[in-house]
Amino acid sequence: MKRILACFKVTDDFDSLMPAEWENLGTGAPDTSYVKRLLGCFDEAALENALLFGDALRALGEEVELTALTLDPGYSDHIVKNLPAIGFARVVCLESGADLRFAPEETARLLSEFIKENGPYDAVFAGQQAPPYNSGLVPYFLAARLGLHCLANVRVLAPEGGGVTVLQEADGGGTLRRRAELPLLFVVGNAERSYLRVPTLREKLATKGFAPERRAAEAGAPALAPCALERESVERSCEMIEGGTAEEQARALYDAYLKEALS
Amino acid sequence: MKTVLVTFAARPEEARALLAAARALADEPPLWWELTDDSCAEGYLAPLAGRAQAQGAEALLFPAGKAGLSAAAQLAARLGLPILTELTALTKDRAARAAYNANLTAWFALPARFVATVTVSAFAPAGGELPAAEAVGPQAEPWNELVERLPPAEDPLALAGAERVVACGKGAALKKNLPVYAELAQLLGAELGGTRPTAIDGDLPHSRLIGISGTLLHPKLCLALGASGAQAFAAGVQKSKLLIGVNNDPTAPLFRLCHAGVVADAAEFARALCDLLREQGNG
Ligand SMILES: Cc1cc2nc3c(=O)[nH]c(=O)nc-3n(C[C@H](O)[C@H](O)[C@H](O)COP(=O)(O)OP(=O)(O)OC[C@H]3O[C@@H](n4cnc5c(N)ncnc54)[C@H](O)[C@@H]3O)c2cc1C
Repeated sequence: MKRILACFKVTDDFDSLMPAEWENLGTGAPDTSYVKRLLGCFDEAALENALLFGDALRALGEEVELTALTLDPGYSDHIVKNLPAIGFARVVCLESGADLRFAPEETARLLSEFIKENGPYDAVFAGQQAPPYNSGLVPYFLAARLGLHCLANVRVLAPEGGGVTVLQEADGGGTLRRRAELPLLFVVGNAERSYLRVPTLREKLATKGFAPERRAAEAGAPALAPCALERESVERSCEMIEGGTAEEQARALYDAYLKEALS
Repeated sequence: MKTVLVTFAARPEEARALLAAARALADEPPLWWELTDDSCAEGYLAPLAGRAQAQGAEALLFPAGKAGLSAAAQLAARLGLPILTELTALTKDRAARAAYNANLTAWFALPARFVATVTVSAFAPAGGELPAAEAVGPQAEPWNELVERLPPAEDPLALAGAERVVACGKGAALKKNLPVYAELAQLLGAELGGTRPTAIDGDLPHSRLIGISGTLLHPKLCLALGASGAQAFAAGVQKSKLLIGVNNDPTAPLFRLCHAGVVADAAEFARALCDLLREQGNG
């Protein structure tokens, strides 16, 4: 039996906030009450690649158990409810209620406590970064706490022998092909498969009535919290190019801007 | 403050950017440790931790990026030191980085000892003499084996150094219209890049991603078509000398960043511009 665990984070759709929400925050959080809650994009890839790894192991005749783990998911029913339908036997939500926006060490500590208590796992997956901090640190702190070797910038992975072969993205766009032994922590980056599969109606019906496990988690203070959050934006008075057709617009843009820029 | 620059061999531009960051941080000249290879950070942890302790290092600066983050994060965990990543500004007592998908800058008070990764493109390369580099080799890591290293399919710095860029978003519908944008880029003498959805949908290679997880551009001309202007992308194009946006939604946030904007269907506009540029003898 191979045990696989994937960590994921549910975040706010910060792209949809009104510009005014970013003003004068001090060190507080913007009001995100009216925007969608989303899976972090790298965490979505981490979940999907954990499922793909499980599929590949099953195809080799292995029995596989998959767990999905998150911390303080907030409003996330629309995301969490689909996870059992696509193959996660356990879905666990740790609830600290603390402000962990800038606390990768504490986040890793809380995740690691659950993993140690319920482990060992053969493969742990995490996305490479998630908003709002995007520090990229949680997977590395998690690996250190779990005493696991970690493989970062994972694009593709497949079981091989008793271990795994991975393709990792290197700085500058090259690719590393590496073989390693399990157990491992995989930091999923720009993965080839980055969208989470959608459950079929039949899969949804089979797991209807499911509720995730919710567990209290006690968070400590972040190691380094920001002393200020400042608005970062460029606002320009954009000149709109007029024209009744694309041809007229192209001509007007060329005459007003491109001719000079291209000379 | 005893500062150490930790870089990877054969990446000289990173050392000069780190030197600029080190000079902002401390008056004393830094030490420089050069890791012989960037493929497996774990092999360097014991040698780096030993050196850091023996030398009483107070600030260890790595280049931000895949290898730099891997090494810095694991070293910080091993040494029990606080770490800040992707720093874009440094003073003697504060450091800044992007937060909230680059909508905000977060400032941190610097602790007495720390590890950091520094965004190389945010620091103008320092002139003057670099300290003598001490080469650091890795320990064997028998749990893994690097089977092969495949070079990038194309010049990885093509986008970063480009003077002109055509930047496509989801609204450019690249799957259907890639030849149109490729021709437009060619006629403009530009490199083609795109937003994150264009990269994850496989329309463009990841090396062509523009924004906080890809390349931050400084071109003379950037023509962005069918991108919404989300801040994570905007951070990559907003330093363009001339930024032109094309979007079929007049309220798209993209236009707030642009010097000039066109409300149009991206592909239709691109086709019309190609015709005009051909007629003008460009390309
Ligand atoms: C941790 C993290 C890191 C990220 N890093 C990056 C990054 O580095 N780079 C990046 O780009 N994104 C990044 N993102 C994603 C980013 O937040 C946005 O989701 C992304 O930039 C949106 O891409 P888009 O503009 O192509 O798509 P959308 O936001 O979907 O916008 C499409 C636009 O096209 C317009 N449109 C539609 N049809 C047409 C048409 N026919 N003609 C003209 N216009 C049309 C629409 O009006 C819309 O404005 C990151 C997100 C996270 C969470």
